[in-house]
Amino acid sequence: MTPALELRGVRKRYGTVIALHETSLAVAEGRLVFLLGPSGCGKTTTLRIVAGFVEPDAGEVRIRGTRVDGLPPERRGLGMVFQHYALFPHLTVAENVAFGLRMRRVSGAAVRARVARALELVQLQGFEARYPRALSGGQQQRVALARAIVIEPSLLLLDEPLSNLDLKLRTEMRSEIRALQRTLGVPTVFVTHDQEEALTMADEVAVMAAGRIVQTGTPSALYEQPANRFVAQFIGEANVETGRVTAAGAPGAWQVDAGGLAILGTGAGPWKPGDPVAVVIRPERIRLTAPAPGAGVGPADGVAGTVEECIFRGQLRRYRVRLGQGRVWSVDEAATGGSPAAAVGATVRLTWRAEDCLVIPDA
Amino acid sequence: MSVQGRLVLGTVNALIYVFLLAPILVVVIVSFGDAAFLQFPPRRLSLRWYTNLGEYPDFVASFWLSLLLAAATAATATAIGTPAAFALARHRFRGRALLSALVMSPLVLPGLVTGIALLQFFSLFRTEPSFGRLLIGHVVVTVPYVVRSVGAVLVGFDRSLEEAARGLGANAWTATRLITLPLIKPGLLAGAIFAFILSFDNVVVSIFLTTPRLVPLPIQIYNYVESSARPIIASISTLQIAVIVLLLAAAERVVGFSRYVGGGER
Repeated sequence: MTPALELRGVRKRYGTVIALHETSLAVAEGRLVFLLGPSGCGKTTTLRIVAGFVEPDAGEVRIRGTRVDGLPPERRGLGMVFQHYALFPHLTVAENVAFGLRMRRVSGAAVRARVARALELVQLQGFEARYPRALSGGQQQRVALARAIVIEPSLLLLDEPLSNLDLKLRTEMRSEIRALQRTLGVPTVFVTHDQEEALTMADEVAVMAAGRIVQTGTPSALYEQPANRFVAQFIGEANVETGRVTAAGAPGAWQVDAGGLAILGTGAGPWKPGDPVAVVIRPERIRLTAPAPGAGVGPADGVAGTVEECIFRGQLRRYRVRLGQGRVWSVDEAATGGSPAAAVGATVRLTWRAEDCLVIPDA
Repeated sequence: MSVQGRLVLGTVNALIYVFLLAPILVVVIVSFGDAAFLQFPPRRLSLRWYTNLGEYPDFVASFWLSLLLAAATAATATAIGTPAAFALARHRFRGRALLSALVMSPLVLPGLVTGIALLQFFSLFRTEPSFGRLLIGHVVVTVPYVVRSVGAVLVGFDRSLEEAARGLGANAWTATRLITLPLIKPGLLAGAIFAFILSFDNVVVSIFLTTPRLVPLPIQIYNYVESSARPIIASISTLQIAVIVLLLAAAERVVGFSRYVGGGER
């Protein structure tokens, strides 16, 4: 099936700065796809190329199979929500929402009906006659959404739409936008630097860094199988160590020496002994126990450390465990009501299943 | 702020206003005098120097000429200065600095120099003295004010508003017309009013470009003062002030400058 949006080999440079290396991306009908990355990674440039505000130096942009690169923004039929909403301050809420319909020469009665319907979808009935300045941030956000969806766009583009809202409202708007997007079935590209936003909302995430898409996948795939160190650290929390392969075990199992720390992990490979790799262990996959007297120190026995800090976070306890050589790992323990497994200052042993410790290329 | 501080600040402000406005007020008061010569304070009040304006057809003609000239200047300078301000504020192009300097030069050159230069320029091309000459002269010296005031509002203009309009289906011109222009209206109107007022009381450029039949009001007053001290000068000056005050009041109603200056609510 033709994707709703397809980028093929799109590039953009500003003077000597490459904003976007050759990039390809496809968004299937009805999907909510995130462009996630730190500031300056090229995600906004990518979105602006799709919207038509930036012309790529090379490559194709196709919407439902039709090339749109070279077309001005007004002929692409997309809905966009800007970071600062970009509501027209001299127009009322209703006039703002109606703007795109007026441009399409929709008749007066139809405009009123569609504006009312869009405002109902974002739960802003009764605000028609207000001016944007008389609305709260969250309400402005809803108007911006209504204005973008009322034209029934073939693609919805959201540029950091929640970054100006406070935490509570942001969390609410996440579920609302997600629900709205499902209801309308409109394929959507959502740009953010907030990994939590991407993980909780996305069908699919394209992680970007330094002008490239470094990995594309579902949130759980990115979390479970990060392609490299950057993704591992950017998506969720992770203890990451660099080291060298010392031996290959069972297929897909690797023994790694991370600066004196012998670690057993799983990865695709293939590597030879001596190859540089990174190991990634998520805090919640580590088990923290009191060391058994006389226990060995082989890789299968995990590593020893000292509890430096224990932070109660409600649903879990976060331990900070010092492993020596300046290494401090995070370990999460589900808080089920019992007393903590270890006190600050206690010597503990950290163990994990080999399949929970990922060995990935060190990049 | 302490009570004394407020008192000092208030007094200083009041003195500044008195200093600025007192001479103008004197002219206005004198215009309502009854005497046949300039007298302050007037012994008796009368409207004599307004009702007999008809006896001075030269002044009346000059008044209408200046009004027309100022309106045409404001319209032309705004029409030329606005696109120039857009170009200078929004684009980086070869010769931008030169264009900027060129547009702004009448601001730094003494008006007299501009006047002489225009006179030489016009005689070089052997054009006939005309309204057009006056208009061109006035537009040259007022365009910088339009460029300045429009440029100032454009610098702070959030361009994502235009992008939002484009994304919703408006082409570049429609987005400018429906979104940008209404939002920068205060700057546009301020520029136009500047141009109007500067043209309306301009002497230094007009003086080189007048003809016996086309004498703008300030030149007419200037010439008259040299030979006579009749209060007609005061009454015609008061009318000139009234035009400007009315203009500002109308602009205030249309755009509401105080909203932008004082940050009041709509």
